[in-house]
Amino acid sequence: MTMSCAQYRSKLLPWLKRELPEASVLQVEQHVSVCPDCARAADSERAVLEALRDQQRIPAASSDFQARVLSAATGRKAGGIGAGHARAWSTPAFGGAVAAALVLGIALGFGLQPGESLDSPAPSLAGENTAPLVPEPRNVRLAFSSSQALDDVTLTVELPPHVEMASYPGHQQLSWKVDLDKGENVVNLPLNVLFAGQGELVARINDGDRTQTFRANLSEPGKLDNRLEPSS
Amino acid sequence: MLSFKLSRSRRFEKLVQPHLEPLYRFAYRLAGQQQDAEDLVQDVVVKLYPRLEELEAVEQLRPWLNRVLYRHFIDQVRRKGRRADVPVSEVADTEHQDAFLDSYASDLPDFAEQIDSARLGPVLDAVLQTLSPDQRTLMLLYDVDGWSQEDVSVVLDIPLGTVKSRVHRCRAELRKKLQGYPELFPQAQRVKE
Repeated sequence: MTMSCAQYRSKLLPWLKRELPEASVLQVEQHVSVCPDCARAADSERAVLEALRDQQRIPAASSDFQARVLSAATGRKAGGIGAGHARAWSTPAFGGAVAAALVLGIALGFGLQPGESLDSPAPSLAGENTAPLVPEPRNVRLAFSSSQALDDVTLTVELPPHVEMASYPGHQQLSWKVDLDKGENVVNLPLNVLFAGQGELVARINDGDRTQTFRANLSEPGKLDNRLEPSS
Repeated sequence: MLSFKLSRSRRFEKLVQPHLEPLYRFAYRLAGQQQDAEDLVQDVVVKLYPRLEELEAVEQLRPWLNRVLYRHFIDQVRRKGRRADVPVSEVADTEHQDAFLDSYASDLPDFAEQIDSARLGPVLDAVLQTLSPDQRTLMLLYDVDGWSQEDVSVVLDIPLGTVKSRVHRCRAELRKKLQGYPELFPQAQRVKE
């Protein structure tokens, strides 16, 4: 069906804005190439469009806009992970409760078969402590027991050099913002053991003001090490 | 896989933060001032925080948020008793779309070759101020900010056909007003009234 110039001109703006289906694009382009009036109309539309875009730029929001808005909504101080929290652990009663809750500690378990251990290298890797190896997947469960719910705390896990997070190769330290339920909270950490070795898994719970640190020996998976280090 | 749940605030941040800048841009188009736009976004985001679970269930969050912001803006305007400003979604259609398109496509000013391009920007700005707020917003969303007509339809809750007719009408209105500046395109034809 042949379109009139009037019909083509109603398509000029969508054409310039690249909103037309391909078939229509070809039609408009062909028509504009042979119709001087419509070509000039297209130039006019383009001139206005470009001038509008140039003239009506939106100024950037304030540099702290996003942080301020999110902070106003959530009550968290701006600054992302590790930032402070409106509810501080430094409040004596609360801080005491948290400490008591977390003293119960970290339970560390490995998804190993009986008799296996992290420092027992796979046969093909025996004796290679530093050479690049095929990562050996292991699953570690951390269990925190809390006597009360704790919202919006930062959990940081640090791994020894011979272990890395399976989902984040090359990373030995990762942090998450989490809520702790009252009672037991379990986190599964899929790890890759890169080579035989020893070292500690360090878990830190931080609310922005105080940190509770837990350490567990990764070289002796049959044992649990629930030492609670002083806050750092 | 972590079996801890992300904190409520962190979940909210992850969900909303990617949309803050576009929300600000939309708010700016509505409010016309940086500070007002930022305040508008903040008001909306603060109100949404208790509705986190509802947000998490929304499939298309961007248009949903824009719609909430738009309604909030309209409520705000009405409470303040400003004349805004008939909301874009409530501008009456006084012309039938087809009839409008027929008239729209007749005589276009042909100023591309004659126009003093250096002066077009400031003139456009002045002319835009003579449009009604709803016309200006609609045109800027579509022409400048790259919203599709479908986006406009969803966010402003008006039929797509109506959006199309209004976009064209706003364009024609702008074009007509531009001809009030004959020094820019002295040889341009006048649009038929």
